[in-house]
Amino acid sequence: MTDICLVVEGSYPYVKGGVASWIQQLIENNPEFSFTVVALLATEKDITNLKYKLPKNLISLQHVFIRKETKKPILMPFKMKEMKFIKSYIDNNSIINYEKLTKVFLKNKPIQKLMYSLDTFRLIKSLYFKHFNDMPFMNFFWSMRGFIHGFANVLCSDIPEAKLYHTVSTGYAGLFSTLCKIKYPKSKLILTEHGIYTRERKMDITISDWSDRRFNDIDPTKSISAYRDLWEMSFNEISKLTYHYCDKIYSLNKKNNDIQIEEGAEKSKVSFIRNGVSLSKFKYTERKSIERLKIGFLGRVVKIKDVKTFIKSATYIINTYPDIEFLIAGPVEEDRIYYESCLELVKSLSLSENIKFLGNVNSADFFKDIDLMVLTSLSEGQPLVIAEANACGVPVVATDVGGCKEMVFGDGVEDTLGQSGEITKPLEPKETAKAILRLIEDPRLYNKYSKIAYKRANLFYNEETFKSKYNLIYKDYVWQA
Amino acid sequence: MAGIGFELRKVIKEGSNISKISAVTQSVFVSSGNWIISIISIISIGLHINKSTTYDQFMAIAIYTFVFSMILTTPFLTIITRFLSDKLFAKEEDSVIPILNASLLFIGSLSFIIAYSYIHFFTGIKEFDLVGARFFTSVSLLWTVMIFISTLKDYSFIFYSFLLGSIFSICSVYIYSGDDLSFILDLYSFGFLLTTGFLIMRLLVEFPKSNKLLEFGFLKIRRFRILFMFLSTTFILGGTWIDKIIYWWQSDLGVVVVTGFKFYPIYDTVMFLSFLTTIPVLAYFTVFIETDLYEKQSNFLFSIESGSILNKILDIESILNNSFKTNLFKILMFQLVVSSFFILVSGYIVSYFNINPLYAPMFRIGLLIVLLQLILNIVVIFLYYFDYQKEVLLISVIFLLSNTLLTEFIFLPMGELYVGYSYFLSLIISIFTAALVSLYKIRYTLYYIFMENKI
Repeated sequence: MTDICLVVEGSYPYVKGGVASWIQQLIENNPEFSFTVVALLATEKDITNLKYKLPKNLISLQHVFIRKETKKPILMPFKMKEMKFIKSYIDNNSIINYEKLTKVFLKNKPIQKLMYSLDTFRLIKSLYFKHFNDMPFMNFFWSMRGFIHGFANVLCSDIPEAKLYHTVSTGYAGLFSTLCKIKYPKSKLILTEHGIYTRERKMDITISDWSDRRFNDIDPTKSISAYRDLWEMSFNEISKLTYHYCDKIYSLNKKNNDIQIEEGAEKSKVSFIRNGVSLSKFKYTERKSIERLKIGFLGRVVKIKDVKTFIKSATYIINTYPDIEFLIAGPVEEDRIYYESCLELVKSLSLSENIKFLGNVNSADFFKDIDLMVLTSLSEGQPLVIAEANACGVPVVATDVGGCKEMVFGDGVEDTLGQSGEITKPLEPKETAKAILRLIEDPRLYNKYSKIAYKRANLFYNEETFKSKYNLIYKDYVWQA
Repeated sequence: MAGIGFELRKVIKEGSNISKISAVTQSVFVSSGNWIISIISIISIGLHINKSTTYDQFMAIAIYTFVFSMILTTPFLTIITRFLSDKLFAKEEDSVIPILNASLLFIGSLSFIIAYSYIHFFTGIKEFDLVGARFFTSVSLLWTVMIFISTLKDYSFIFYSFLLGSIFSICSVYIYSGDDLSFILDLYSFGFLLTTGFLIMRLLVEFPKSNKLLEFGFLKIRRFRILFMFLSTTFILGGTWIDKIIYWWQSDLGVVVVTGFKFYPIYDTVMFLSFLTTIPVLAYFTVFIETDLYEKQSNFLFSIESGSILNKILDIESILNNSFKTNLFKILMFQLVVSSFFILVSGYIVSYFNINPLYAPMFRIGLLIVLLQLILNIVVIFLYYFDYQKEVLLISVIFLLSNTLLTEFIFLPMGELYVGYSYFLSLIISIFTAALVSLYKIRYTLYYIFMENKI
């Protein structure tokens, strides 16, 4: 049995990014505890090269494959005795029914029957007739079966024993963590949500369909289709269940705390711990003006980061400042198709001289080289890059998503330092360009932002604060157990 | 064969009287052509051989060739057909000729080795080992080419190629008028090779060239369903012939024509005559029934793939199931009428063919057998439409096993009076199994279509 089991979905240790770096930091900063990481991935193909050197106190790395193929039985099963538990839960989604369902799944692991039985087909048909009977049946069937398959693979996975379970999101990781708590009720469970899972996933789907629309049109609070409503409903349910089983729920800022409460978390369980950056690694230099005309973007080149808005904003600046450089640093492998489309966009806008893709970089060195950090994401939690940029004294222009506004303006309660950058609307390249130009043309304002940025990082986004808070939490729960 | 059925159905409905007659003839040919031509050509050539020993040797080799070439080649041709269909569906038309080359090489080599080995090591006519093997191989090669040429749907060309080859065989033997069996067999083989040659030439013209000479992909049985298909075909053919083979070799009723070639002439003749009575029904099935089933099944699958709502899919499924039941009933009635008629006149028929009237009951049981065999074949075709390979394999195993066990242990010891009963009963058992399986599968068609997909 390990001390702490971290449950993480689609991130550490195979994807480089903010959440993954946070996990690495967490394990490294707590060497007195032994860790297991349960990595939830789509399939075995997602096991690529490790993007992080695994710390010595990471004892075991377990995988759960959400899309793992279920072998077809030789004889197709008609009956599934566990179906009654599923039906009970669908009719009445009480905690009692949920526990009965999960306990029988943990014990029997009836995934083959669930995916191939006549009982399951009848269930899918009945759901279809109840809610979707004017939809193409084939599309509905495959969506629903895929849905069930993902949940089933999690429900039928092996649960490692640990004193404390720490899940890094709701969703599938949250579902898995509820199983941990049900199987080992004496162990503790905590959640740290970086972004709000259901809203981010809904945004993913929206973006993939409506990528060129204006932000208001892709407001994630608006329903898109019946299938997605069903999807949203299921993941909202999982969020509620995760919140229910957690002993403590953390997010990165107060805004997300409020959303968690809105989505069913008990107020008394909820608080926030800001991310922290190493001030020794990210050294501060006071910035006087944007003299080098180097505007940076640091992040994964994927749809949710909306790199295209950053690219398009250059078109509004280039005429006035033809030598300006837009440097895009970050991994490009995650979504090659999107990356290729960004390259196409740069070419079509004739910006190849001004816009460069740098790939993976050392972030501390990158911030030394740039004058301004721009983040045009459509969804964020508490982006570490803003804290890192702030620590280096680099002001930030960021979109008003997730915790970005709080990191740029302060929360108005604890952090009343004032503005250290600009906030814009997502998908508005002209507005982003205006914010950049404002700082180019007003060196006094730029300098003011630079100083406040550093103060903010030092007081509120200091790694030492982050480290000590989690260390205390771990000591508290692990020793209790 | 549904493809040809559509063509012929169209001609029969819309064509002139002459084209209708031609279409009906073609439908008879397509549904039963192989064995009709086989029998006609054997009989025609046989009648022209004067010397009795030569006649016996010729009949022995010819009958065994036609029977066993079908048993040997059909399972392989089933998997080759499947492989070929997949390639054509993927629009890889340049793979047709390499597959043809590989199939001819494979089937030809296998046929030659088996035929040569059998004649040389197990028969009393070792001197005809090479010529017998050549003949066996030429027949096997023709069956092989047939499955490729069917993809072109030019049935007139197939029909006339066959006719020309057969005419050559028969005429050349007639012109020769000698008794040298080797030469007779070689002339007969040449006729088949001539037909095969015409068909291959047509294929070479129609399909594009390829850089690859040979494509043996059909032998890589990667999926169970291909293996099941191969085995089912083998077992069904085995089930059809096993009682005859047992009577040939394990009873006093078997007559040695030549060492290594035994027959049971009366039973063989009776069964041949009985199968002749199915020609009209088979032609009707090819043109009207199979096409109807194919259309309804296509509509059903299309309704699923095109995004219909479930209620509509269920309605179309119901139409398909009713069509199957209705068509099966039609075939049953049609053949029942035909069989009943021949049962009534069985006495006259046996005497016309100089068969002892005491064997009239054997002929009557034969007529019932072909009726049941027809039903079994249609149910199997229906199950194949939905890719229920496992179920067909089960039925084929039951058919082969029951016919073998019933013949060997129950009816063979009971003597000549009960010849055919084992085949009859095994068909009853198999049809009963097939009916249960079909009803079961029909009830849960959608479930199997959707849930049998891997996830």
